[in-house]
Amino acid sequence: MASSKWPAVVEADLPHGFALTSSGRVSGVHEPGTVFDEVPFTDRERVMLDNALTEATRATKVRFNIYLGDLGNDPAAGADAVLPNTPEAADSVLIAVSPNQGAIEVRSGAHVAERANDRICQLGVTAALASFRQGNLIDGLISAVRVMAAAIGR
Amino acid sequence: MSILETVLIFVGIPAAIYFAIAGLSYLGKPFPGEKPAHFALGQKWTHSPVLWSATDEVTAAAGHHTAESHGSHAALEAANAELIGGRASGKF
Repeated sequence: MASSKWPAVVEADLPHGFALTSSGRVSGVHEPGTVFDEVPFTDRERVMLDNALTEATRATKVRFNIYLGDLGNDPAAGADAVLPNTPEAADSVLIAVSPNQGAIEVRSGAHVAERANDRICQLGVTAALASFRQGNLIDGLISAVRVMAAAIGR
Repeated sequence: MSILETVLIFVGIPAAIYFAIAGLSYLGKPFPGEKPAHFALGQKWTHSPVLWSATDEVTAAAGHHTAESHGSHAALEAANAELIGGRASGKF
């Protein structure tokens, strides 16, 4: 990693009720009555997205990553900063969406630049925007993954 | 003891106890918490960033050295830009 942070988890910084186990796993409590710390999507949406990612990665042997969160004031620079911290960054396609800024950024790794070139990244953006403008976030992500996987080929 | 009494004592009382205890289980909440409200585009995204990936899948990168494997050997601050192949942006 370019910007390595070590150690990745500092036990003193963990919230109340969280502990670092000897294996390095973070163990935490769930207070009764509070909202679960889950992504705010239905199980069905998550399964559909997982299937799309799995099929795309399996068909193309290119890793598809989806980042959902703030990208800063400059979404393009934010996506550039996210890419090195994703798994297998050089052999991956990153679809970064910032819902608060209404921005979608697609990046592909250097090792797959010939297969996932600018034109194919633009295909993914176009496919996602059609659903995003109708308010369907997960549908847009799924179509972007499918369209890009189909365009990249085997 | 008539048949009716036998049934009441040996079936009626156990059944009453059974349903009383079973009914107690409905007093508590079924789940110890709530799921977060569903997110729709247009709302403010307050959740921490999410990264989704098909982590169990083997890709072409698994066999040969990738940029990450060199990362522990060399300072890669300048290589961030070299990591990027294609790019595209959009607004919605």
